[in-house]
Amino acid sequence: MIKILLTEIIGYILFLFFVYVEDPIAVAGVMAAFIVAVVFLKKKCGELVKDLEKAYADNLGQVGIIAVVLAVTMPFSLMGDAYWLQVLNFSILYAIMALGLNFMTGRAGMICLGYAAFIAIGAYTVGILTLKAGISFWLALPLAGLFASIFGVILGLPALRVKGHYLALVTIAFGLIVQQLLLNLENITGGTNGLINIPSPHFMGIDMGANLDFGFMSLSYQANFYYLCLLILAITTILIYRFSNSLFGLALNAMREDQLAAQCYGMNITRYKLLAFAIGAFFGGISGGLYAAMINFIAPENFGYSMSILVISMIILGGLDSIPGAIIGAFFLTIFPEKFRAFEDYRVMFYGIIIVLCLLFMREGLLPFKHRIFKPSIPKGEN
Amino acid sequence: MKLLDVQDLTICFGGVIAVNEVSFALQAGETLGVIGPNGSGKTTLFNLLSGIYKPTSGTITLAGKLTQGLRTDEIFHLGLSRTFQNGRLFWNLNVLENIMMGLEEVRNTSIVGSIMGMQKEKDLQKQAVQKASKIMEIFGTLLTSQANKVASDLPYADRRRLEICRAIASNPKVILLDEPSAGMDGIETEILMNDLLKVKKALPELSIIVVEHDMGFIKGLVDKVMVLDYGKCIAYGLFDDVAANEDVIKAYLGQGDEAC
Repeated sequence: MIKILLTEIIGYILFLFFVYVEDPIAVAGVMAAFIVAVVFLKKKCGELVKDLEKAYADNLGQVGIIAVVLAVTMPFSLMGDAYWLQVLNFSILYAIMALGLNFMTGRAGMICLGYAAFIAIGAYTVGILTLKAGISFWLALPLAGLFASIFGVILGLPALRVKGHYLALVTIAFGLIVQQLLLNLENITGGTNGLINIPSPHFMGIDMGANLDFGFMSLSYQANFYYLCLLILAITTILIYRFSNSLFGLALNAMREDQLAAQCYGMNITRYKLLAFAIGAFFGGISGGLYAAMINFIAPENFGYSMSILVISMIILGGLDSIPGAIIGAFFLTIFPEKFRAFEDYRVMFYGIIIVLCLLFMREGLLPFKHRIFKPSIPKGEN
Repeated sequence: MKLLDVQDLTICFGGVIAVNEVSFALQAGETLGVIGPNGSGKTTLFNLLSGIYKPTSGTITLAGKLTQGLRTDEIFHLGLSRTFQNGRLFWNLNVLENIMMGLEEVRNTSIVGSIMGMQKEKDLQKQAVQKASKIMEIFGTLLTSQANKVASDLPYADRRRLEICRAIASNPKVILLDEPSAGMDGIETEILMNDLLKVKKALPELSIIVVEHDMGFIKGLVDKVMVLDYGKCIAYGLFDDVAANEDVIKAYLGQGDEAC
């Protein structure tokens, strides 16, 4: 308990420190120092690191609660800094996407290179429903997830007949088709102009587009969304965790390992594949919906192929089929490039390098999925 | 009653007739050996029985039901499970989980129930783990001592054992063993043979069809033998009769004096 608390607080302070360092060269220095420190710790104090890993694995509930409590204080630590809150909001949104994609690709083995399409569908659902139909955001958000799920099933149907590289191609095509549809269905989607002035949601009479005022301290409006996104990230994590640690999750894992064998052992592959697509897409839709309400403006070019690649690189960096990996990967790949805004043009190249390096030297990612779901006589399940 | 009844089973791939009008029947508890040289259609026959291929003509009746038009997983639910020639285990799942994949519980689980953390689902999970642990015990401590290992980390012989465990986990009526001794040396083959006899003893009602190259291997195991050659059944009957059959010796064993 104390170990977890301490390490998480150290992580928190390091993170704050990282945020406040502005100069790119200094950032690079900090990163290098950090990597050296981690390698050093692993070499010199292997026991300690192992102890910590075990403590984390055994007390997931505590880890989560402490992390959430620390996260709640973050806007205050940042003094309501609008820019960094926004960056954090994006990180959280990406974390939700990465969790969804990770479930689809890491857990069930369905490669998807068109994930941005689901995000776009979610974003446009919220945009159109709140802007044009005047439906409340709180109703539109679950609908965004639901529509994305439906599209997930629609993508899943042709994808049933292909696997491996061919599935990857089908999903790329799907992403492009959705983007083209958004461009060309001008009456509904606004074409290249996108949707402007999407209303901010209201929560118990508070306009989430206005500053968050505590009386003694006023935080920029991004803090509202920070808390909303954080809540949804927490729910997503719990849901994905439960999905993954059930017999259903086990079956998906088996399907990833060997579809034919899974079929010969009584799995209705069609059903499981469609479910994996639907569940993965759902979280994409939700994060897209949040995005639309937060930015108030969406256009098709926001949801291009590069976004799909970005989310894929997050889960590859974090470790396929690893829940903490997906979250860490998303945070790292959102925040880190912000420190190097001067080199903005090279951003996509940076993602490419990350993917190549991971696949070459670190196939299991930063936080690999080590332990299996079920263990002899002590069912791990949800404790 | 016949548990498995195969009538005039034929499949053509383009112009090649891979299995040609094969008929046989299997009673509960009976063991059938299928032998034949490479490419004689043994594995194709298994793929037909388990529903991976659809027959061009002919019928398969399993436990009184025609399997025509059924999917692989539906045929599995009728009580037929199988192993694969090249050992298709779920490589990154541990031993316990591999066996669990053969259990009904995995498919009876309610997805909504498990994300709500319902007690019923937890019980089901516990039950599945217990059942799977129990099934491993058929091979003593060989598998139970490695239950937490990932399948790809197992030694070769234990992989074969694990495959057999996974196949019998669902309490099937028939299991199909596709060349269980492939890639094993003499001693390993003997151990495997003992393993299979153990399984037969533990599950007297279970029917087994075993595909083999090696006639010697199945000698003590099978009740009947079928010999395939170019997709055709050239001999079918008791082991000793078939082993003495002139056609079999000529087509399969090559020279008479090397039979068995």
